[in-house]
Amino acid sequence: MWLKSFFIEGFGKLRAKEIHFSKGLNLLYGDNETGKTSLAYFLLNGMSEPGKELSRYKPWNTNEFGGRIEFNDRLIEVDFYKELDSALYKRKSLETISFLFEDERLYISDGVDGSIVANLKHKMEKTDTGRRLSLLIERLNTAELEMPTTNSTIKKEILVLEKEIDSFHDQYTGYNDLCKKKIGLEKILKGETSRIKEIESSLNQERDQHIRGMKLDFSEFNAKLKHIRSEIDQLDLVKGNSAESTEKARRLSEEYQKLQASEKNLSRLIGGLNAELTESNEKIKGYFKILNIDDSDELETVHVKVRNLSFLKKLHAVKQSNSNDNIQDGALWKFFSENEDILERAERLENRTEKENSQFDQEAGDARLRIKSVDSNAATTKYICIASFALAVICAVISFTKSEFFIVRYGTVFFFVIGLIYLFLWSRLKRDRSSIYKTLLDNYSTDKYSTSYTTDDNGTSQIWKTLNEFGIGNLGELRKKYIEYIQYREKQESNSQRLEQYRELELEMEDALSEFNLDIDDPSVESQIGNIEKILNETQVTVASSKTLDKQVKALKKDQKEQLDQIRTLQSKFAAMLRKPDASLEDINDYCKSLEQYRDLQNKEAGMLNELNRAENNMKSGRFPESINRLVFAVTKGKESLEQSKNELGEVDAELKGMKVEKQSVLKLLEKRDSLTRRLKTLKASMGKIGTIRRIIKQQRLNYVTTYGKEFKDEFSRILSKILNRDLPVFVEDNLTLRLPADGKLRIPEDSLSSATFDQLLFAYKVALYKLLPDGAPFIIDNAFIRYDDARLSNVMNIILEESETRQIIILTSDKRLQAYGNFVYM
Amino acid sequence: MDIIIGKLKLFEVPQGFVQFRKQIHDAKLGVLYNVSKRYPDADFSFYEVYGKWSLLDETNKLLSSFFDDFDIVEGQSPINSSPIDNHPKIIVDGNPVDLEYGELRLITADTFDELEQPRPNTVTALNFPITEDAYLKLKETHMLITDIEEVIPESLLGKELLGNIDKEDMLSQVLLSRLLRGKSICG
Repeated sequence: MWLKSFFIEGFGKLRAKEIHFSKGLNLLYGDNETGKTSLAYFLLNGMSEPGKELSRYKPWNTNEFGGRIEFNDRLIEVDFYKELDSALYKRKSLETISFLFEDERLYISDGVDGSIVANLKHKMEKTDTGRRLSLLIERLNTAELEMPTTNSTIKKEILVLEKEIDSFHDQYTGYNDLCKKKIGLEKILKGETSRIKEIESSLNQERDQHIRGMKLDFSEFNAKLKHIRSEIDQLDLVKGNSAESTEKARRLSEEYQKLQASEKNLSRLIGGLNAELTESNEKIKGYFKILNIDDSDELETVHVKVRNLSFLKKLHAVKQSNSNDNIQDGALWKFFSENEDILERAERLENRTEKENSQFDQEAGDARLRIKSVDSNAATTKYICIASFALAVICAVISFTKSEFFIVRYGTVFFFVIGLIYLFLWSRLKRDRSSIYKTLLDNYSTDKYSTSYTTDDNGTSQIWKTLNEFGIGNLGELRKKYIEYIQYREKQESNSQRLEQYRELELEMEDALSEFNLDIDDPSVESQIGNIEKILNETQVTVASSKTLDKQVKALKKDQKEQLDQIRTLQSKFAAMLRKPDASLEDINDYCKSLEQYRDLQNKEAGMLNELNRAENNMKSGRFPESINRLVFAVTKGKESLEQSKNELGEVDAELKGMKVEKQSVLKLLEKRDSLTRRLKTLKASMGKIGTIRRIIKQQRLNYVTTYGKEFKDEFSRILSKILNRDLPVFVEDNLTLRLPADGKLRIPEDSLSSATFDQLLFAYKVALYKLLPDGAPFIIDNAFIRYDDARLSNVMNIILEESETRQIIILTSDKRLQAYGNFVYM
Repeated sequence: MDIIIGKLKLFEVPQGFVQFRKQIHDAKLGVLYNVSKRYPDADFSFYEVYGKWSLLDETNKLLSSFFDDFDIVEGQSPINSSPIDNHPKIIVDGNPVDLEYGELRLITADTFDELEQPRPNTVTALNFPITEDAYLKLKETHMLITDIEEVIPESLLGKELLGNIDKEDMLSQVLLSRLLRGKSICG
């Protein structure tokens, strides 16, 4: 922006003053008192807020107080009586940067206005570096806001990846399932192959063995057949015969053999029966000898005798048993027989004992009564005795304690004497009692009563002792035994009669036994009789059996004879057949044997031929035993199954080959997932770092903004050194206050510099400020170079010329030296 | 001699360590090699031998290259023979036996401080990017999984700003570098 012209209606002493300017440097010349300063203040107040000095410029002879200021892009109507709506520039800023007055001091020593500093800072922020730093913070803020979104985005991406990975895993699972199937099939195939091999091997072995066996069998068969044929050839007796005659011979032979066997059987039977018969006859002979007979006709008589003997034997046994009855209690019976009156004597003794007992009882009763009476008297006596002695003692005590009762001493003596008397009586009564008791006991213990059981005048006591030895203790038992004794005596008499009969019977038996050479006195006679009975029975049985055997032998011999006849007939037939009239039995037997052998051999030959034919047929037709056929079947089935498994394996293999397992894709996905996971973790960690980074950038921006002082100082020093042609050590404070070091202190420039140098310092200050804060306003200098020497003026003007290329500079001057730098416009 | 080897989980790739899958796989193969040489005539039973990304035929072929006689058994393993984050053990005739074979540890680090000490046989996954210089330096002593990012200031301002960040604070340097280059710091 540049000032095109202004028109002052009234300001100070200026009236209707209009001046036009051009871009760049404008030199406005006016002598002193021509209103140059008024003009400068008109522009200052017109371009910004009115200052304190305005009242000094109020015109005194006109009501017009203002004018017009025209810029290249705007026109400002200035009426200082009116309140401004808004100023074009801020007064302090404009005054500090764009106006330089003569003798100006303020800013350098006291620092510029705070708003300028703020502006400078703001301006710094607007610089490239400032903007870049702000941009960084802005980006950081944006990133911080984006982080949660990015976080969830990454998570989503990971989830998508996981799904994709899972789908690949399904691919792997499918592949592995097929692999498993393949491995299973391979195992089956392996197992099946080895199984089939085993079966085939055993099949081959068995088949070989079978064929070998068959061949061996063939050769064996052939050998056997050959042998049989040679054997047949050797059978001269039969080999020439026709089949018919052979058949006939066979039948004859069979018949002959049957008859021969039957005859042999009969001979054997007859022989056996004859042996039995002989043995039986021998037995019979022995029996006859024992029975004392010569033939079987006498057996009946013997039988009668034996029966009689048996009867006698039984009778004898009965008699003997009767005669042998035991005589019990023999000693007692002897004692009774010796003492026939024992019972009477015992009864007498019993009666006497009873009498003595009743007498004793009576005496004992009397004694008890007497003892009772004595006991009663003794008790009374005892009490009187005790009482007398007690009274004697009492009286003695009283007489000793109470001497005045001397009479009592006689009482003591009296009672003592009485006591002694009764004591004597008491002891006597006690003695009497003992004597009565003793007498009673003596009577009881002496023989006066008890001996009556054991002694009497006739020695009865000895009898009871003896009886006691037999276990008889009282009269009742004696009576019972005595009755038994009487019964015994009766029985004895009867036995003596029977004994007589027994002796008679024995005599009879002696006769009977003598017939069988037996003695009745022989202790084993009874058993011998039993033996004879037994022998008799056996003899009878053996005789009967012998007769039967005899009959049988006769019958068999008859049969044998018939068979021998038949054999002879057959023999003649064979002789005819053998054409050997003198054919012996041996010849016939040989022929039969040969015939039999011939038949066997023929049968064998036929069987062999059959077997051979069958085996040959089997071999030709490839028929084998069931076991081999089963193996063949198993091999066939196994091979079918193997083929099926192979086909299945082939299919699985093909499927497996066709199946795609994208390993690389999986790895890429896994790597991507890892990368995303890392990114997510980094992002989370980044959240914690945002604050630090923000703090660092902000601090950097702050540091940078406050570098305006340095920039100002650099610019200021550069300009000043240009003016002064030397470096002036200047210290710039934060509020842009200048201080000069002098004598080790920082002093205000006014104190250290000349007025001209200070003016130059001020010029440099304002130019430097404009460099930092180019507000676009023209630089208006009011006669500020008046004290400059030519050299410094030249330096300043060079700077101004340089500056005027970028900004409008209006110099109000009364210094004609400036004419050298441009055309003057006169006030 | 019956030997049980468990939990090798061949071809399994632990999450976060895919980059080092070869080293992880090699460590497992090392165990197989070690065992096959130590017990040449034993019968081997493998539990949990298949990892998530195992292909059965490939794994079986691999095992066949080490062992003549082996069975793969399904079910839970009674022993952990994996060298990954574990000291490998096997069971020999019913008795647990330590394998003299070093484990390969897999760890993650959130800060640069955690990388101060060298860690042999350890794969460290960094949860933050580092500069190439730092990576090249650490690579000599560490097995690292990380994102590498250049932090070279293109301007004086950038240099000054990066200079204000602690050199150990790699993440802040990377983030600021991204900011200076006008890239999103969200990566």
